[in-house]
Amino acid sequence: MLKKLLKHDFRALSRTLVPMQIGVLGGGLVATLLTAITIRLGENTANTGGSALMRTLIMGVSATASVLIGIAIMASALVTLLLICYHFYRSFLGDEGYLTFTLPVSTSKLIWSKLLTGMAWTVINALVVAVTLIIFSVFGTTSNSIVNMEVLQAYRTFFTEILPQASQYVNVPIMSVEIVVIGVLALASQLLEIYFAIVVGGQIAKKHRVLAAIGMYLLINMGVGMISTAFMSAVAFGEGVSSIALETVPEVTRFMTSTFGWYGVLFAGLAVGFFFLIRSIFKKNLNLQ
Amino acid sequence: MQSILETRALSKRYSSTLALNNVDLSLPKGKIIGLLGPNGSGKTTLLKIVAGLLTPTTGTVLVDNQPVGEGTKSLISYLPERTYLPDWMTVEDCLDYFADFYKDFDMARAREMLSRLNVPAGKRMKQLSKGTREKMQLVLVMSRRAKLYLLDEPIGGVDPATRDYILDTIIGNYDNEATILISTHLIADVEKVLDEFLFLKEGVITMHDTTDNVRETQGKSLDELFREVFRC
Repeated sequence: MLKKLLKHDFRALSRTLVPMQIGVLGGGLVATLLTAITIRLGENTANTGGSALMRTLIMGVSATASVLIGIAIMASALVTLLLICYHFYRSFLGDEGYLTFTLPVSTSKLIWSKLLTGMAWTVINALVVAVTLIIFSVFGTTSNSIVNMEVLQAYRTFFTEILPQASQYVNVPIMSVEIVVIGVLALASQLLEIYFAIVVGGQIAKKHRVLAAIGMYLLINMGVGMISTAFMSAVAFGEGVSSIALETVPEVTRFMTSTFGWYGVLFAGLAVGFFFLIRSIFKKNLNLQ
Repeated sequence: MQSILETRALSKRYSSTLALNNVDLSLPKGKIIGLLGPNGSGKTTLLKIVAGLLTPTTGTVLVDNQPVGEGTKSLISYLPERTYLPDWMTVEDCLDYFADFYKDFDMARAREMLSRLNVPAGKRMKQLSKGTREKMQLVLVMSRRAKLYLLDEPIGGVDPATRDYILDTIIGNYDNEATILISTHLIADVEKVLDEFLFLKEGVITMHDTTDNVRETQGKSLDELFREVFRC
């Protein structure tokens, strides 16, 4: 049943999010092209002794394109998150809840489906944003050639020099896996925290449920902040951080692995906690208006 | 006789309002039963609790001897009084959705009913009128081979000709082992299909009898009895 839920949740979200991601990528390409043309025109004007006003104008267009691409990218991340949350709200607390909660599916699977689709779309959006930025940085920032070789070289340097250097201090493959795992856990706990705020907001308010959900999120987030600080402080105290010298490679590796591990435990604990709280409300206190 | 639905001391309170008050109920299998009462008497609340959309304040509900949960949801086909299908879904999407989640969904029966009711297959829900959307939901719900159908005002929003077709469909298509619980105000229209009825007043079941018994012993139609009992 989870597969079927995922299929329908992906279909519902794809309807708006696929065109949006294509729009971000398309907008990024247009801005890249516009900036590349503007830089070339600016160079030509400078070489042929064009007026200062013309140069200012051209640079203004270039800057505007860059700002627009930045705004579009930031907005796409926010809009993606808002659409994921709205889908959750509508499926469970809106009229569609009458359909969702009468399906012969366990409550856990209903939540898993929303969590996995939400996480998948957040990652897809992040990848689209990253690709857009890479395209912009490689093709939209030079007038000498189509490709900005300096930027390309910087990317190459990162993989051929910086990473190998880092491997002298830390175990790069293990650290990469840890970062991915922590990223996944952090994303899950963050989405479940928002879902929990939506559920509690929907339970306590008959009207203005969105406002109630936002208020709940701010409150819950404060609580989570305090728990996280207390937890990591306790961990630091327990591990004796102040006495670690961090002078040798094994010491640095051990410290980073341990810190990342404890963050993983924290995010996993929060995610599990929010998951079971949502499940408990849906199973024991569901009151669909 | 085996019962498909049993409630024991079932109550539901919304802040200061007692919507259901200590309801004890036992509905047999294979009957069409009218859930009748004035507005605000608790009909929708009762159906929503049985469907698993509301948590009772006190009491128990058993559907085919199981407490309400994942298991009972596969036995119940519920038609709410509101339109719940997402606006963006096409008629085909809705059929696909029900076929995916309900093993007892009869696609051929659904297509035949949609065709008879002139519901256009390619249209999205937002392109359909409210009445057509209600027909669509009714088709989906009645195309399942469920054990218990909960129909909340199934004929409220449709024209008299469609009303007759829907009632004929309900009688003609349901399994003899299945029970249909219909909540409605249009008593004269549904009276002919009902085996039994429940009168619900201010959250209390005030009468549970067969329609034949009312006609035979009181010489009245159910509509006449309802008007008498619930006279304002």
